[in-house]
Amino acid sequence: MNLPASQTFMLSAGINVKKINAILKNANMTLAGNACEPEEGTVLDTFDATVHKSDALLIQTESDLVRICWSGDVMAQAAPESEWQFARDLPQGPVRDLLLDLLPLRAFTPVGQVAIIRDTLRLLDDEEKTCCRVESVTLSRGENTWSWLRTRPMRGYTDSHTLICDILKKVEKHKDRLPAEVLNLRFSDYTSKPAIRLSENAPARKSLCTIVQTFLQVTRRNEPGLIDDLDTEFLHQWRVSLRKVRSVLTLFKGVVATETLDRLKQDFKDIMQDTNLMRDRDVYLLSKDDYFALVPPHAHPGLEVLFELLQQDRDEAFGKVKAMLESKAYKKQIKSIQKLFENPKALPKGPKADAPSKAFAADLVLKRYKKVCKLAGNITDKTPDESIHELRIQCKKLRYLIESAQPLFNVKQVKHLLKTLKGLQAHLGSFNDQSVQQATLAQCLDRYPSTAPNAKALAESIGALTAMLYRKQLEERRMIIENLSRFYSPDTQDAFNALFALKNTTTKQANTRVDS
Amino acid sequence: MKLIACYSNKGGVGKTAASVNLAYASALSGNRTLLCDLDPQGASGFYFRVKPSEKLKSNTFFEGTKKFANAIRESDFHNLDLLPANMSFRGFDIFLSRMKKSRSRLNKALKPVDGEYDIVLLDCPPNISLLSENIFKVADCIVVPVIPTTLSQRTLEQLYEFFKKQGYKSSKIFPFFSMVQQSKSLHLEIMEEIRAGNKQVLNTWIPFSTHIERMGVHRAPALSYAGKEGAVAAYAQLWQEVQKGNRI
Repeated sequence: MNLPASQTFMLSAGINVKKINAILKNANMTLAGNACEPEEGTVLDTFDATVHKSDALLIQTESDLVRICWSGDVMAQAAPESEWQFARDLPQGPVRDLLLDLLPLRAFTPVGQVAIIRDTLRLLDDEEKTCCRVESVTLSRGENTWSWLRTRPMRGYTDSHTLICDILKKVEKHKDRLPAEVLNLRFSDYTSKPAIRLSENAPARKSLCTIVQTFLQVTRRNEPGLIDDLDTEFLHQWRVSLRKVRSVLTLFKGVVATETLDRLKQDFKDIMQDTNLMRDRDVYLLSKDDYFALVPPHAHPGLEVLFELLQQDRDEAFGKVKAMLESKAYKKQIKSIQKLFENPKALPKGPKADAPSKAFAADLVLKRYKKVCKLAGNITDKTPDESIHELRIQCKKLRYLIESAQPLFNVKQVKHLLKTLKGLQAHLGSFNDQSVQQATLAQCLDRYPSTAPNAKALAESIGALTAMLYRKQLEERRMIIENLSRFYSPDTQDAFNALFALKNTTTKQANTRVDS
Repeated sequence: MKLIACYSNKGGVGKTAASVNLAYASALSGNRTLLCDLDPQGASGFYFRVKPSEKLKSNTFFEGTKKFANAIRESDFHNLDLLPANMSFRGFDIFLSRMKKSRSRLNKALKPVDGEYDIVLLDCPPNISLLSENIFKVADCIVVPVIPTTLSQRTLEQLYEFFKKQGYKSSKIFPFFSMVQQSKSLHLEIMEEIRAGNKQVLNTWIPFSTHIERMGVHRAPALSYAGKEGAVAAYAQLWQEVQKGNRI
C-alpha cells in the first residue's frame, strides 16, 4: 500500500480554517472542524525536563492526560482521578507506559497553565467524503498561541493529501519556534550530565577545577528538591555528583596538595555520611514490588512488616539529611568548597598540577584500565566475594575517570568503551546490591524484638528473601564472568590503547610542558 | 484473509444494505475489512460517498492487478476500505476470463491486497456470470439475503440447483431473511417453511425498516447512525453469526 507519509506543520498562531477554506474553494473542497471548546490544561514535567527534551509536552486537562510530540504524534489517556506524582501512579494507558519507560523515578511538577484545543479536521470533497484528516492541537497562554497540525493521509486520496499539505505549508508561520518559546513556558535547564569544556594543554589543575565546579553545581541544584523530598533522584544525583568530585580529586593524583586533598576528603565524608542510610532504604523501597514477586504469597505479610521497618528508617534518615542540608554549617562548608575551585591558581597545588590535561588524563585512564584488567584476569568461579567487590570499586573509579576526562577525547570512541564498561558494571552493581541487601535483612531481623507478634512472619519472609537474593547473586556472578572476558578482550584492550596510549614522545614532551 | 460474498440472483432484496452494514460491523469487530462493490449498479460506493474516479473508468483498469490495489479508497470509518464500482465493471468478467487457470482467477486478482485485510466482502452483481461463478468457487462463505416471499423462495431454490449442477459446494451458502415484515403472515409462514428444509439458514433476520431505507439520505451504514434501532442492530448480530460460522 503506497500511503504518503504524514506531514507536520507548526505555527505561532491559531489555525485559520476560514482562510484555508478560501484557498480550497477552487478545488471544490472544504476543511471541517468540530468547533471544540478550549480546555484548561497544566503542562507537567520533571526536574530534568525529560518530556520537553524528548520534543514533547505533557498536558493534563480535566478529562485527559495528553502527550504532544511535535515531531511525532499525539497520545492521550484518561486523566487520573486523584493527584499523582509519578508515572507509576497513573492508571494503565499509553501515556503511562511511555512515561514509565522514559522516567520511572522522577516526580512530575507543574510548569505552567495553558488553554488547549484538540481537534481532528476533515478535508471533505463535494460529496462530503473525508479525503484526508488533519489532527490539530492549539495551545494558548496569555496573548500567545501555538498550533500543531499533522496530516493523516487516507488510502486512495494521495492528491487530496498533497493539496492540503501545499496549503498548510503556505499558512505555516515561524515553524522553527517551539511551544516553550512561543508560550513562554520555562522548563528547567537542569541536567545531571552537564557538558564540560576542557582544553588539551591546559594545566591539569585548571581542568580539575572546571570538572569539580561543574559537578558541584549539579550537587547544589539538587538541594531544594532533596529538601522538599520530591523524588529519590534528587538524593541520588546529589550523592553521585559529590562522589564524582571526591573520585576525581583522588584520581587526579598529585594535582592538589596532599594536605588540601585530605581535608576535602574528610569534608565529603562528613557531608555524605548521613545520606548513606537514606539512599540504601530508597533503593529498597523502590524495588518493593520486585521483592514481593521474589517470595511466595505466604511470605508477603512478613515482608509488609519488613517494609514498614525500612520505611521508618528512611523517614528518620530523611529527617537527618534535611536538617543537615538546611543547617548553616553545611551551607558554609559547601560554599567554601565551591570557592576553593573557583580560581585554579589559588588551589594549593601538588607536583602534577601543571601537567598538560590530555596527556595526564590519558596516562591515568590507561593505568587504571590495566589495574582493572589485572584484577579481572584473576577472577574465576571460586574467587571470594571481596575480590569481586574490589573489582567493582576499581571499575567505578575507571568510569568516573573516563567520564570526567571525556571532553578531551573522541566522544564516539569514549562512548563505545564506556558501553562495555557499563555492561560489566551493571552486573557488578547488582552483585553488590544483593550482598548488601542480605546483610541489611539480617540487621532488620536482629533489630526486631523476637517476642513481637509479627516476629515469626518477619523471620520467615526474611529467610525466603535471603535465599532468593543469594540465588540471584550466584546468577550475577556467572554474568560477571561472562562480561569480563569481553571487557579485557584484545579488541577492547586495543581500543583503550588506541584512544589513551598517546605517543611516548608526546607524553614526555607534554609532561614537561608548563602552561603559562 | 477470508472472502465473504453477499449474493442474490434477484435484485431489490437488500443485498447492498447488507453488504455495507456487514462490512461496517466487521470493521467494528476489529477486522481490517475491504468491501468490493462488484455490482455495476451497486450503491455501496454511494453509501460511503466514494466517487468512482476517472482512473476507475478506464478500460485498462483490470489489466493489471496493481491497478486494482490502487483503486481502493479508505472509507470514513476505521478499518474499512472500499473498492468502488464503476460502469465498466463488466470488465471484471473480461479480466478474469483472460487470466489462466480459471479456478484461482479471483484469488489472483485479490493477491495484491492479501495480508492487508482480514475480511474481503464482495457486494456481488445480481446475476449468474463468469464473475459470479468465480465467486462461488473461491468465496469462503456466501451470504444470501432472501425476502420471505414465494418468488424469493424460488430464486433460492434455483441457486441451489445451479450449485448442484456445477458441482459447487452448497455448504458455503448461508441464506438469511431480509426486509421481513412481521405483520405479514405470509412472511412468517415462508420463513418457517424455508427453515424447516434448510439448516444453513442463519438465525438472525433483518426486519424491514425505514432506518435502513434512510441510508440513501445519510449516505452512511445504518449501523453508524442508528445502531441502537432493533432492525439495524440485527446487522451486527448477523455479522457475529457469520463470523462465528466461519471461525473468523
